[in-house]
Amino acid sequence: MLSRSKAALATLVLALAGSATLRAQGVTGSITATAAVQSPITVTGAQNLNFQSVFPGVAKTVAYTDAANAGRFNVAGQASTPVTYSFTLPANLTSAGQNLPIASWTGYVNTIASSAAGGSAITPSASSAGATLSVAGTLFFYVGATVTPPNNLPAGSYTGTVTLTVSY
Amino acid sequence: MTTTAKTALAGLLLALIGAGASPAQGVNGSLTASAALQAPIAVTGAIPLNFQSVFPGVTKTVAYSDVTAGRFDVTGQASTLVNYTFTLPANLTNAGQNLPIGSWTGYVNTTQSTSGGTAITPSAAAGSATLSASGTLYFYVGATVTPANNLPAGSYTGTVTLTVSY
Repeated sequence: MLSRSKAALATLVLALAGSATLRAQGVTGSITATAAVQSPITVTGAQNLNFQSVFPGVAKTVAYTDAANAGRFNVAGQASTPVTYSFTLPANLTSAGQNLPIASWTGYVNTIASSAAGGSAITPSASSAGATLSVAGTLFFYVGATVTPPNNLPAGSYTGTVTLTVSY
Repeated sequence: MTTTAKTALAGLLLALIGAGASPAQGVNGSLTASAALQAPIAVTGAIPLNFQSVFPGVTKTVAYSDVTAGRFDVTGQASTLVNYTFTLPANLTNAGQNLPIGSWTGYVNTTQSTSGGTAITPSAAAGSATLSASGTLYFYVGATVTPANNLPAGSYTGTVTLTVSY
């Protein structure tokens, strides 16, 4: 083989080796995946529902408008966004295995911290309902109920838990 | 350097040594060394995959056929088979927080459309497709994000990479 052809052949071998290396690498392109995550919801049990002193045989009601004793939940999240909510409600307040029935739940939902005006009366329940966060991303829920202590209910501090669940 | 490249280099050195010994002969011949180099592949990230607003606790899916789906444009040698793989993120991230992303869907087509092509599942495993008669190929990508209830607000991002080779 002539010298020039030898050189050419060697060069060709090199070129093929080079192309084999490139083939293994491949050619890449990328895109960005983006998500604009909105504010998460927070639910705060802001004020407890307090029936104060209750007497056996005497039903007692706390109205949701009772500023001192009604329960209140504060909700924060993404401004002006609809949410769904539901309540988990106790059937009884309990103390040492004794039951104090609680029912006739009443409520109010408002974009501002008021149970008097600007919002809507609701009936707290396990059924899902809708509301919309304020332009500031707030929502306030007020809760009242009635307890009906039997005549023979032992004295004591009876408690139960009311839970509000809010989701987008 | 790979073994193949070393061997080639050795061959070249041998050839050059041979060339150094030969000038005394004074006779020349020639041949043509030719390589029909085909069109190189180009991969362009054409459209980002955009989930837009996502709410904590609410799963969101962008289908590969959505206007906010991701798209890659590939060019290369007409009517030629290529292999492709994806490098996919497990999470979109923001300030050390993770937004899980998964359930990838995709579509590959020789025209810029999500009809007339083939549905694919983007993954790190190699797939194959054939460039169009004009040397084009389009990949569309969708996925699902599953933000936790308490995920902090922010712009979460990740990178999707498509690798294509002959």
